[in-house]
Amino acid sequence: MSEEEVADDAPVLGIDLGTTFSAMALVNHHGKPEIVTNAEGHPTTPSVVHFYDEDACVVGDEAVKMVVIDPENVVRFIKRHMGEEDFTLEFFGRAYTPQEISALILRKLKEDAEELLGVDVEDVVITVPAYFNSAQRGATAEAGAIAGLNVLSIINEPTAAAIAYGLDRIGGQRKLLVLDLGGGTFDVTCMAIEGTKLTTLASDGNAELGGKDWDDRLLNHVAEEFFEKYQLDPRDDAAPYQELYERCLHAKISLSTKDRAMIPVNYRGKRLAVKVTRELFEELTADLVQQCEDTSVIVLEKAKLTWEDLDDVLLVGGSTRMPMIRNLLVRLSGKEPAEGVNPDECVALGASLAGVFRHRPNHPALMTKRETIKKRAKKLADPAPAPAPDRPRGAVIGLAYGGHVAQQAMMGLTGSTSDSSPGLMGVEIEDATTHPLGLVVLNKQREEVVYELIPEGTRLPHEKRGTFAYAYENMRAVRVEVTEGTGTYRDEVTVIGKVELTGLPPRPKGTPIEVVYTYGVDQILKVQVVDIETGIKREVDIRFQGGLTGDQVSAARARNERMDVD
Amino acid sequence: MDSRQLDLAAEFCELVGKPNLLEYLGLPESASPEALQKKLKARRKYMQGMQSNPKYRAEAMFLIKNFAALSGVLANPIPYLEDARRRAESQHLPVLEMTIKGVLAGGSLNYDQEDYLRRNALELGVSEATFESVLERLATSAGVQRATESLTVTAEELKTVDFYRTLGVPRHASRDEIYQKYRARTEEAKSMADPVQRDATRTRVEKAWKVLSDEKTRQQYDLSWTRTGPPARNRDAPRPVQSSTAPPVQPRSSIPKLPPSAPFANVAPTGSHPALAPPRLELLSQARQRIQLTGTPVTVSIEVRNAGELPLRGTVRADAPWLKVLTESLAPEKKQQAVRVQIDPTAVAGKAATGVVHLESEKGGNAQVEFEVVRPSLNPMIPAAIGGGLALLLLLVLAGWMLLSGPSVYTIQIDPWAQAVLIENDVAGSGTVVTVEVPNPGESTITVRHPNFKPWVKDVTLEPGGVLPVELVLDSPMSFRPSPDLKLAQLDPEVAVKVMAPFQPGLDRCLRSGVTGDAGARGVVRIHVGPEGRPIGFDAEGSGTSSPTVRKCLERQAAGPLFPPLADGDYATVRYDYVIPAR
Repeated sequence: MSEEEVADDAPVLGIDLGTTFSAMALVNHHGKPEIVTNAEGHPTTPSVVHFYDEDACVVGDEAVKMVVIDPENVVRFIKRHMGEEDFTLEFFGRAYTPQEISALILRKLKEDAEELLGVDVEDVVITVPAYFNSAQRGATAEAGAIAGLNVLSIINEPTAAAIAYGLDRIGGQRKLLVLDLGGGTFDVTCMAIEGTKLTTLASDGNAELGGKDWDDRLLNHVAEEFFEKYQLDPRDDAAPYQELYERCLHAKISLSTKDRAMIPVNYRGKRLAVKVTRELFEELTADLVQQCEDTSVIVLEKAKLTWEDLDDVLLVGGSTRMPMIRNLLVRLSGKEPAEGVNPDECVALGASLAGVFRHRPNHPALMTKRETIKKRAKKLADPAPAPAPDRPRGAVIGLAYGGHVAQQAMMGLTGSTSDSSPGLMGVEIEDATTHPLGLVVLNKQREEVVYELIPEGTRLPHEKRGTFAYAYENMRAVRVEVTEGTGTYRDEVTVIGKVELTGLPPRPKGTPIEVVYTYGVDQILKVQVVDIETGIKREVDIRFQGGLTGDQVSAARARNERMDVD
Repeated sequence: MDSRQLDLAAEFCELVGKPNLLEYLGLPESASPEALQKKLKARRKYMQGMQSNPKYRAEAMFLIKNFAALSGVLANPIPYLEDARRRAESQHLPVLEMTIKGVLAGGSLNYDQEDYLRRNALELGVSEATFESVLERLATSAGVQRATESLTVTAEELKTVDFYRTLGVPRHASRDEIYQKYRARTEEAKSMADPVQRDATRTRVEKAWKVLSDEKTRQQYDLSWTRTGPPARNRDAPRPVQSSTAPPVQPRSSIPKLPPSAPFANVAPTGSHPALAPPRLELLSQARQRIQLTGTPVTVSIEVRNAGELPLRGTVRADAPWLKVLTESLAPEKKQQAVRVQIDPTAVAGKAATGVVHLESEKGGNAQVEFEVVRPSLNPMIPAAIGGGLALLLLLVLAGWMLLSGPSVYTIQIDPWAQAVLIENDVAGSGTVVTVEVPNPGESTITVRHPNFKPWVKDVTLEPGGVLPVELVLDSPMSFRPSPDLKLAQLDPEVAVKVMAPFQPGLDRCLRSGVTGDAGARGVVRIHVGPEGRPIGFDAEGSGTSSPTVRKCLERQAAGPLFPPLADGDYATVRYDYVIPAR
């Protein structure tokens, strides 16, 4: 395989980097995605890292075993901290960012895959929960870079799951709800398969809700029972806590199939077996289930659908094996969840498919696949409904001064959805933004407020133009601060990038400046700032940052390479 | 160290429920910055293993994320501690000021009120010096004279009273020693049941302190006292406490005794038989008794004796429904006996009631004992607070009344025939009954029992009216006790009394599993009760850590009402004070 030209069938590893478990998959020569097992022969690898020396760590099942012995040097649930600033963990005198720790997990996956396949794996597609914000997405991409991987794209987990599930159903017209309850994250996505298009209609979730919370409820209950008897709390010591956590985790799993489970506690020489019935467990976690229900209802409302409109309900993530989640969906939708989907594996499978669709357009196995899809599409009697026309909207011109863009008068603002997205083998994947994008402008009171340019739920790719204006006389420079998040004032949102236009000739107040946001399917935001009169312009790609600079990434990568990962 | 770091440190301390970082790390204020850094680092490392632990998650996350700030703060522990103290004070000063103003609105400031305010201040983390200056300032501006100020020591007293003896300190004692003794004596005085006695003792102690605390007056006093010679012995020494409610019992030795059988066997049959004295009913207990009601029934013994020689027959009856006579008839042959009546607090209507127990003998005359029962009032200062228009706020702080539980030594008054002793305002909340078991009058072993404490057993010589210090040690690993002070949305003393429910097992479990801390940690958990008597929330403060478990547990417990239902629209807060004993 040459360096410059990537072979049509070069492997693209789809990686589901989960909170508790990670999985990877590859599309085989028949166009079928297959799970790649790890060195231990398991389809999933625990996302747990144990540091046992200054420059050596172990990832996976071995690390899980060590958690009861050496809890201070074991990291779990690092995904919950992705994109958090100031969060570092220290092992053997060295500080690690969440990106670096995730990179160690990715390296283990990569190395195991290379060993199994016998080829080098460079290109990957990594999945993230749909509700991840740009910092979290950026951090995930950085983790890939640190691990020495070429991250072709970051895609949403429900999208990946829908691809894995819906590939054979493409060509029909279906609406589906994907409920993804993993170890540490939760999201609900409503998707439509219309003709050859896979569209995200709405998505919502909670990056802080997952199976771990169910475990914690069980753990708290058991600890309280133990305390009642012995006035000792096993949560107070790290190692006994971890041991008890493992036991609660297993009890939770067995409660999915059995009516009761015993949780033995052995702490400071005192022993107690706590019996937990499924009924009690459901009682302890009723509010968590309620959260799932509320989110599902909200997503359906956002998508303007009713439960009757849904054709399929897809359960993704190991935690959906709990009967209470399944029952919830059955109760809400009146449908049995879709069969034939492995909740642990379908995200990785979908990721590998998406990688091939997007980045290996000439993959030999897909040539045949494409034929079948086209045939099915032709059979489709009624054409796919036209996409909703872009609403004409009035907007505001701003006045910009030395970095501020101000809102002053109403003028036209054109926004157009690009329809020229490349046909991905006849399968188009449309993701939607999960957080609104905007810029900081000055309002009439000269306060820094946020002007929303691309609202939440906009389907990608998307291009939007806005004309703003000088806020003061004779400005020499304009700075556009790109924001992400919902809020009125600058403090309430995150500034994800800045574009500065300098060397402008002095001109009066009201001189127009155009700002163009182009948000592509590759989740990269291009920001163009144009001075309309002089034609001076500047374009900046805003790759969502996880908080590290390029130098930091390469330094971390160098360090990471020195690390032994078993 | 910048203000942001200090803010973070304060936030962290609030999260873990510690007054400052040094106490969090368990190091003394004298610890070196290096030791602090080392301990903080070790703690961070430990917390790394705890970050997924639901009980410690918040603490671990904060410590990991803001380690640099906390470490920066601890580089200069002295300015940090000053800042921490300032924060604690400034946070609570407005509340304290409001409370003081509310009390001052009543127009006077007696010992009890001042003590109450001082306890409040200490509970809020306001230092005594700051409290004194605030009180001084507010009292002056309100034109209210403080009780301690209004004391005037006359020239006569300066010559005749031995203030050193009053406090029980040697003449050469340092000011510190004098202060310690003064505090101890004050505490002692406060534990006295009788208000008259209490105030008198307080006045004596305060006078002694007033004279001896100031170097100049002390010198003057020493000179004048030496010149006039020592005052009369024992003139001002603390005397055994004589409660007005104590029965005027005679010493045991003076009770006439008859030989056990054949009373006249040894009498020569010569001459006429002396006529046996007719029975005469004599009441040994007080004819009027005042009882403070608690949540549980109280049994009271009425001591009577037969002053005559012939058998005394008679009956006992009561004229109030809440007075239940347990001993319905007198034992004819006994020279002395106890008539037991039980007071059922649930049958008492209103705040106070009076009932009479009639002892009617066939030939020996009648006697009666009048019982006056009162429900414990919330606090004498409430009317003042209402007057000050600050009722709510004051009540909120009022809850602090019981927090400082003081020493674990309590003085009880001995009545050799008593079966229950009421210890007011000390052991476990106002009016809690501590059972004193004296199997037979005159026996030398006394046992004191209370559900929260280990039984206290001691061999003593029992003397009626004597004073016996009882040292009570906590029995359970952690003790919670309901405080009588409640916060109510609408002031209604009736509701307040109803909510003062006995301890609930479910609640107990929640508190025990959710509140942790080092030995000696103490604090308070407030449970907010909604109209249906269900807990609707809680908050806690003190040196222990209360985890969200308490709330979750309460939520689960809240399925059924834990407290008596309140009137519509009322909310109440029930306080539980806790102390974590040494393991």
